Amino acid sequence: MLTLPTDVLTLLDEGRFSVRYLVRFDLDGGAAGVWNDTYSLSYSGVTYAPLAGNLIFDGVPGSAELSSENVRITVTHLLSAVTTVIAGEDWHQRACTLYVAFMNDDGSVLHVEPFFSGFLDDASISDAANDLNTLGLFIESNNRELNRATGRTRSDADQRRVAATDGFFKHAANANADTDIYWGRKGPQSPTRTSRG
Amino acid sequence: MTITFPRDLPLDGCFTGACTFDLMHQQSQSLTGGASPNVADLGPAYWEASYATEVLSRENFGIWTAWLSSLRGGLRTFKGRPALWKWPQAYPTGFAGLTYSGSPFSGSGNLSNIAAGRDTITINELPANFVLKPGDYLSIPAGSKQHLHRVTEGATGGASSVTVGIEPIIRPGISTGIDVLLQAPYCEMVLTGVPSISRQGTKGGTISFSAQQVLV
Repeated sequence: MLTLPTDVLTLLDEGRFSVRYLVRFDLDGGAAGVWNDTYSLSYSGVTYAPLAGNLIFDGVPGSAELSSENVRITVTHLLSAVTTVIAGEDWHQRACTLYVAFMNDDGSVLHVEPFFSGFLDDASISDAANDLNTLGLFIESNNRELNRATGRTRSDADQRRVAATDGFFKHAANANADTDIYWGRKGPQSPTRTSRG
Repeated sequence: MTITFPRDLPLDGCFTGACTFDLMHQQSQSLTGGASPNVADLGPAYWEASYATEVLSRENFGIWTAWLSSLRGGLRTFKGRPALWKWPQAYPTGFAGLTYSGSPFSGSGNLSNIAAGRDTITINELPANFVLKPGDYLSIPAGSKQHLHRVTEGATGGASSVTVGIEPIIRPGISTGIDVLLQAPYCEMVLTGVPSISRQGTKGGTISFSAQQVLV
């Protein structure tokens, strides 16, 4: 169950509060982040560059299936904070986490809560003249990992690859062969019935 | 002469038409059945402006159109401030005659304290009994930009300092010891949309345009 600090619950109960959104990219060269306020935020060892409002989230979908949902974030790619990630790094299929930050009245961060994690799957740029310049980032939910076959099999070889001395599946290869089981006697060579004439 | 940006308003920002200049809050709101609107603030507030002139002389019309051209649409910034605003209300003709430490007052104070809520500040290095009224403006440097604030609680200062309430709050990360601009305070703005430039047959014409603050 989600547990929020008392201060945050008080804010939510009031119904009038400030939130900001953080996007963390776990790139090969280290984690990077952006958020929609005006100053650089250091949170959990990552510096989040300011986007000053240039950040729009589509709804985060919920699903009871194993299908892979995705979230679209719209930002501008005219800011260096964004181009640093998209143009300067190998971003495709890198882990990405979305957070919501509850803010104090003095502009400081009260609490940060993660609400979606997945993989950066697609980035589409729209920069038509006399129109808004947008960069759509599609983040595919990590649900997709649930659909994937692992490559593991119920075989002696596979089991021993994990634990060399584990013979649990030693006889698995013979399990599908036809085998007669003779109950209460010593196999077919034993007398089955004697005629007394 | 080399033009530098952010560029000052031409003709000292003397707009003769109807203008607006106000703080835009990025908020979403939901009305509940109990008639208690819930509000979520989703981003930092920024200044938005619309400026307009009445019919200008041919010379002034030329100055305005040249100024707008130099901005290259939204590529370059200018020093946006409320129309017809340069000095605090208590000093409608400027700071002439005011002194600080025996020298003429420069128009800038020093940010000496930021209260815990970051919406109340103390400014020192001011002339004695300096007055700031609600609705006055001041600006401070914030990174590479200048942030404009409106006085919400005015005061009459003491020997060399005054404490006032402001909006929006001073952004986290900004600390004391920086200049507070009280003469022609501004924030950096860019043009939004296409300026309306209407030429008249006998005189110059009218100019109107809208702009938005560049926060970072």
